[in-house]
Amino acid sequence: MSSTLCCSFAKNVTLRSSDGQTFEVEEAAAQVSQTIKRMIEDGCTGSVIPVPNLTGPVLALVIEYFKKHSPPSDGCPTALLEMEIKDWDAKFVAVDNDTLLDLTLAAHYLEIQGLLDLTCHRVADILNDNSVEKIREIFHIKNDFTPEEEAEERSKIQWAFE
Amino acid sequence: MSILLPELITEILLRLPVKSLIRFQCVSKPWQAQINDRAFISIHLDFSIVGNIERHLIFMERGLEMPRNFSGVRFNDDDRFEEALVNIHQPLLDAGHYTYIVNYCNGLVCFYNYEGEIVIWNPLIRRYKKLPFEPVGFTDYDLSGSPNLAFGHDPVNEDYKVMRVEEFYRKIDAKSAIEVKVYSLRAHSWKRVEEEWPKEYSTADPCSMSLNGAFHWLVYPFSGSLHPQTLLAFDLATEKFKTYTIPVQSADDWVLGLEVLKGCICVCVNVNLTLNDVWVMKEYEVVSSWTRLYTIVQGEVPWNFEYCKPVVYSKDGKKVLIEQDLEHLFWYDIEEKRGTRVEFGGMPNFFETAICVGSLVLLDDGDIVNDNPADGLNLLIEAMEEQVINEEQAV
Repeated sequence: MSSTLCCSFAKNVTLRSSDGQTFEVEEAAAQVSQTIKRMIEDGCTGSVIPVPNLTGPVLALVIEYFKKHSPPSDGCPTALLEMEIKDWDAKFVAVDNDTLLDLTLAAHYLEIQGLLDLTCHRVADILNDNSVEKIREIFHIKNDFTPEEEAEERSKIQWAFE
Repeated sequence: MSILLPELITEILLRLPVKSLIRFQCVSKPWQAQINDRAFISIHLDFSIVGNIERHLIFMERGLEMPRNFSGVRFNDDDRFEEALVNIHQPLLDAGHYTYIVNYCNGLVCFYNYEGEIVIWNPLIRRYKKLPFEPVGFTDYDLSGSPNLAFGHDPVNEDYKVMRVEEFYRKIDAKSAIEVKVYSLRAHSWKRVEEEWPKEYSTADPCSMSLNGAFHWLVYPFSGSLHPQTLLAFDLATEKFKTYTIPVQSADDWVLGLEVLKGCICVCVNVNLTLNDVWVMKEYEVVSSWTRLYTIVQGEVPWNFEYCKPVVYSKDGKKVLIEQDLEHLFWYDIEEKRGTRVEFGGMPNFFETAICVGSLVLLDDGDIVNDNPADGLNLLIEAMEEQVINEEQAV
């Protein structure tokens, strides 16, 4: 089969989010996710592929990422294209904290290494700029130190707060 | 609302500089446990080196100041240095004259003082480990001089080691002896090495370099010329010595140095006020892979130099940061043969440098460096007073 023929008959798959929304996406693009790639290889293409860990809005974002990162039909990506993708990536993760955390989880569940690197870097940058209190708030983390314990821990590493 | 899984928190923490991680120990007990976890510390170091997350240039002031001051400056991704040096408290009470940096690797700096105290120190997290005192053997001999020390990483046993080579001499029968001991950070103890230091080589050159789990020295024959002719290596896992030929035959006005650049052993030749020639062993242990990396001829850069020592490559691999005559730094562009001075506020007049990558090694078992130098000084005074009292009582 020639490559033109293959492209004109690009196969689609349907993905269903946890809240029942369905999305149609090119099979090649969806295979950016290792999890989906395995399901397709196992013959799941005929029916709808369930993505139970992701809500509709998050899955919609992930599909945008799939489309941008699907392998180019003509083979190797150019330097210009790589630059463009880098810029696109930076904008893609410039979202509110909860969406960013949702995307991080999605990258983890769907095994999308590129997206996991991207979101973890972004979260690390946000952490770097924030106080301990703010981090607990962003991550919804319970502070399990007693006030005395926390004061003692802080006094040992006062310099790191300067 | 999203709650992150523990494995994702690990993924995120791996990408942070060490000062932030020290602070984030206060977020919660699980975060504290994660940051102090030995496996995490090891993976974080790999991330830090490969991803070039943070690098600091550490200065040890040389000159008449007592005690020796340490300071540091972070370099950015594009190899620009931050504006000014920041003072760092060092762990030894008495870091006066004869305080020298033995070597540095993986964010750790090993240095020693005149009293024979040796420390392994992580300046970025302010932790250190002072090596236990270890007596010398051959009690019926005299020590020939100060010890020859080496420091480095043993990847086979995932350990950090210090090697001490002492040379002895006995006048009555003109006999000499050499003792080799290795300290293991993991075991926190010294052990005598069975394999003997090759007798045909002098231990006199104190400069050692650590690479690929081995220590390296430029050595010269005991009898005969005073010019280094051989590269001697000691493998930390097998505890065996090996030798390699070097690409140059030294002459009277040459000063040879050993360095490590981008994971390769380098021999650095300084010919008195004429040129600086740097050779690199491209493939480790392969003598035929010695290649000339660059030559700086006097006049090529707009200042005179006596001794140039390569410190680190720029991120793009085109330039090398050079420490010149213990008083200047410059970036040298290898292809364009051009030097650019590096200067910033608070730079000491004379200094030795070390490069530290962001590393948490010693966080789980090191002692905390005293934050207040006045406390350290008071402790030193107290110790001296105590000694005076003891001596008085002894009389």
